[in-house]
Amino acid sequence: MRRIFLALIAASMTGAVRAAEPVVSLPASAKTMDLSAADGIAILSGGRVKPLLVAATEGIQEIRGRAGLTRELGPMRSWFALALYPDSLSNQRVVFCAFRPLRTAIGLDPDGQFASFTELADNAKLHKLADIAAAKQRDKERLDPVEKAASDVARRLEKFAEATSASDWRLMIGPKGKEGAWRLPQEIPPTEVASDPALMRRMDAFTRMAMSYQSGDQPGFDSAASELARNELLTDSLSSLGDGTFQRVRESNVRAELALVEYRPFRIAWIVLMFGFLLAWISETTRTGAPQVSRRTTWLAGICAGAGMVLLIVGFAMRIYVAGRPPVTDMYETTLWVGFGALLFGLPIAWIYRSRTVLAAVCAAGWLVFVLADNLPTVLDPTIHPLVPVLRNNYWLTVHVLTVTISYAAFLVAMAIGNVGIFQEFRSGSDEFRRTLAHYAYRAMQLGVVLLTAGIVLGGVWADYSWGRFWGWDPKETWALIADLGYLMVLHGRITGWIRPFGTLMGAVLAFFGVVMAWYGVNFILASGLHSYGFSQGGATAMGTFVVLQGMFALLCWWRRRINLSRAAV
Amino acid sequence: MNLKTWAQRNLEVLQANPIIRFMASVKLAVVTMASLGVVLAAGTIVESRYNGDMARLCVYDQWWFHLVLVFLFFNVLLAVVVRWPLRRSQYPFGCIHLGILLVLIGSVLTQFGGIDGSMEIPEGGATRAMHLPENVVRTYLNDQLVAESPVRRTLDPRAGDLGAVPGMPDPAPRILEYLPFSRTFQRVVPDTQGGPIVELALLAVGTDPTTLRLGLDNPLVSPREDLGGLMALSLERAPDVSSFLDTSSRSPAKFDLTARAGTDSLRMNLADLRVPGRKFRSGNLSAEVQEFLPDAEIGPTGLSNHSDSLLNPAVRLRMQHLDSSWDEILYGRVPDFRFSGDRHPEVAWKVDFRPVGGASQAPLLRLGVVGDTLLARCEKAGHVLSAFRVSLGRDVPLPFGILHLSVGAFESHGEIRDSCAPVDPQPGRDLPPPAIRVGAGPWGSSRWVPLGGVFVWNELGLRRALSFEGRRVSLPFGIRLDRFKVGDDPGTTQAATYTSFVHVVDSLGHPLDSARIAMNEPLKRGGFTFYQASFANDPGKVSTTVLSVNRDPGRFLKYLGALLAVLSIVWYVLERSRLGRRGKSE
Repeated sequence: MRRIFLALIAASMTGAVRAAEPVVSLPASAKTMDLSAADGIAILSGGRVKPLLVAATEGIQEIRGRAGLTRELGPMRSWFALALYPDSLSNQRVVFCAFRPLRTAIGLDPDGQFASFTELADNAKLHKLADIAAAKQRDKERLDPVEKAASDVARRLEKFAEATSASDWRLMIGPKGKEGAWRLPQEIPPTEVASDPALMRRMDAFTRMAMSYQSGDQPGFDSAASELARNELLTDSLSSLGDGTFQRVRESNVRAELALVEYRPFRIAWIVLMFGFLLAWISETTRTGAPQVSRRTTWLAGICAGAGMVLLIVGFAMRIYVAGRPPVTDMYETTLWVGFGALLFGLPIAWIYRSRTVLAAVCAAGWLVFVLADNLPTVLDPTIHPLVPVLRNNYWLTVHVLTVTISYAAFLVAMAIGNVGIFQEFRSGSDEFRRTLAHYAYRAMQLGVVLLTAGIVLGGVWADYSWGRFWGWDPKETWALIADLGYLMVLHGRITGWIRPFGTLMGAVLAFFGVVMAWYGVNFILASGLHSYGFSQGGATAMGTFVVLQGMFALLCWWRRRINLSRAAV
Repeated sequence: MNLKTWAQRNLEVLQANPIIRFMASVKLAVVTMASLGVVLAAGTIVESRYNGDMARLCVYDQWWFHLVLVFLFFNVLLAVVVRWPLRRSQYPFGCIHLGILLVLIGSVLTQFGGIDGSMEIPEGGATRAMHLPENVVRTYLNDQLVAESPVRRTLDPRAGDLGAVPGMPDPAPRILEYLPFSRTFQRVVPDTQGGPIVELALLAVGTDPTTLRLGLDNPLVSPREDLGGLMALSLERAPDVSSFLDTSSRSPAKFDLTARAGTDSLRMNLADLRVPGRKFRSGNLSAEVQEFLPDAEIGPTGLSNHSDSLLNPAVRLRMQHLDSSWDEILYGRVPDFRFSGDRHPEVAWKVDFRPVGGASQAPLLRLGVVGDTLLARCEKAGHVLSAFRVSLGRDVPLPFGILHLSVGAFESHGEIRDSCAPVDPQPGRDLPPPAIRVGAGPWGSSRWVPLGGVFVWNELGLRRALSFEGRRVSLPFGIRLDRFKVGDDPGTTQAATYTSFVHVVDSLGHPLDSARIAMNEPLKRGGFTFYQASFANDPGKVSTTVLSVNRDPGRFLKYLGALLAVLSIVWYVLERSRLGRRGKSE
């Protein structure tokens, strides 16, 4: 067991497995220049005003699947190189295209990982496959893996072409208050620049920044970039929402977003929680052998958990401030929210019942959730997107999603306690301890049921408000109901006497599969119904592995329980 | 014996009844919840594989699903009845169960008394009609609607005598078969009672042929079709062949070009453009004719000439302005879009085109019938572009750029006959439409009527018709769409808002008041609520909004029940922990 935990820690420390890197040939200065002065330049990208660093990271993420053409270049150097050395980079093998069957199908060297933009863009076989994939997607047909890969590569090429033509650099601000004020430098007629001194200054700084980047003039670049990053026009500028309404853009928003990506409070939180878990685990194992050590480590674990909580609150506050809405509209945000809720419910339970086991379980649950959120950007996309129409101006949505997802947090706590509880079958713990754990799990499930039921009802209110019906057997609402029924069965099963402490713990573990399905499965596996704004792909392997491992662990504990019972009977 | 004692005694009998006790048991509750969970999971899997309609047909509309809900209802109800009168500590339990009952009763009210339909309104149009997701058979006598009866949608085909067509006087036809999923094949057959029928295919480069069947003298079949803004089509009786084919032009053809760059301006007319190599110059701007095509067509191999008639002239010019030079292709007209002069930002173009017959806006293909002869005339804005006699099976190019016409069948007295065959629904696709077979009429054998189909016959001096279609109801007032607008997120083409600007109109179409319907901003009027549900705004077409219209008499009970249930669960948990603490302290 300990080895598994160590492996998990090692995996979360190193992040994803290191893949091969492409060889990028650029002038030496383009590889080494420090471009951080340009990080905070505000630009309009993806329907939102954001720092250049964020736009670059998102853009490169789409092309490369990670934040940089190579690890050494990182997002900013990659983004600048694409815009300012487009011809050179178009002919270098930097576009990620590693799927072997696809490479074979389109006549590339099957062992390679990368291809150049030009060779892919000129590849008729790839175009044909991508066209077939697009037609199938239009007709809602399933894609085979090669078509899926071809469609991904085609999307990367599109983004690559966008990056090399610098058509995402909307950093010029037009006349104040004018609709569509954020423009590309090449869009603005010279006569307009000549007539507006502020615009002229900004345009001049932009040109200087580009030229000093190309000539490797670091001080020149820093001064031009800092001038652009002052965003002096920003305070009063407006970003049009297109329907005649305007969203005020504040410079502090851009700064807060830059801080969010630079300091990564959610990443620090999982590291702190990991230590919290390890310390709680040590305090639990040394409870009888070295009570002094145990007491100290308990305190330290508690401090770690508290610090994690504070970091999460800070992170959430910043994200809410940047996005201008509660963080409840995509899988990434709900994942963070559930992890936060698990700590919110779990830590008081651990405190009230003075339980190191619960503390360890809660820290572990939070750690796992935040590691997932931090390391699977293609599945749990941290990008702050503008809201789809149905989610706008919606008070009920916010209340509904917050309630439902916080109930998942209570169930996550119940599941974590349940796992600790059923694992006691392999230890010589007392029945009393098992009963106590079952009681905690029962309480967490009760809390979860209250919240989930309220959340489902609020969802009905929202559905009635947005679509005109309270209940429509939509897969998302139906699975939330199934999950609720699963827990209600466990709670009612206790009354009938069918379920005892072990059954309660096992129920808390197994009923969580309903939550997994309602939360992840409907959006990523079933992908049908009205909640289509949340649909996505990926992560099926990770989630499938979790379900299989969790199922096997439960089965193993149940089998052990049978053996223990028969031994006791003898 | 007074009422109270009577109720008391019956309650005691009820409470002692073992069946009732079983129905009220927690064990049955657990089993019911498990069954419900399994059934619902199956429903969502069906929905994921097919769609929501299929899930309703397979699960949510099935009798056994309703049976599970009925079990749940009685289980919840009797759980309270057997414990009646409740002790104080059981109040939260009673309230939770009462809440669930209210929600279930509210749902039944919605199911039977509510309306949930949709309204499609094009920009500038108004409607009172609301479409409901149910199917009906409608009966018409002498073009008057006399009866409408619902046809229940089921998963399995039904055969045998499914009842007489309502409202039809003797000899009334009977419905003999129902196919839930069908594919319809149509053919044109001779019928002495029928009017002219034509079956034609329209072919455009790069798309599948569109097959159309048009009939005359059938008030329920529209003789005119609008092909998605590309072209309108009509079938009519022509007075005589010669007048229908008369294409004498009132004004000569014209294809004039003007190019302007700064103070320089070039004018070129048709006679000049027909001469390859001809050069024009004005100041810094010059042009040289490379190629002239009187009837240009964009085909799979690029630009080619289609005929020598001046229908869609195009010219390829070599342009020069200051130190830049480029090739420019200027078209007279390609249906509904103009492609001229965008290669050089400094040069502004004006293209003036009038085909033989006059300037044109909306293309129209008019088919005329004289005796046994079928004629065709291509028009735009009332001006004739070309006219010809139609021969069966021949591929005829139309002067609308890239369209070809081929007539497959023509009957001067005929009927369009449908035949339907069962098909299996395909995952991920829309469900195939249902069809009914109607028999024992005067036509001898039976007839298929697919959804949206209609057929008409004369018998015993009555003109009879029956149709199988979606149910429509008329609201007491109408909605007129003034404008539909999609707002994008700044700098993207991603939709941020959908808004319909509408007027509520009375039954005569007079505007009452204006309103705005947007996502999450429904309009409430006359007991109905209108939600922005969907839209169609393809380029070159009139935008259409789709509103979902809803009336729910069960809403109050559902809200009340849900609120009661949630608050009572909280009460229950608090009460339990209070009792638990007291139990421990004792």
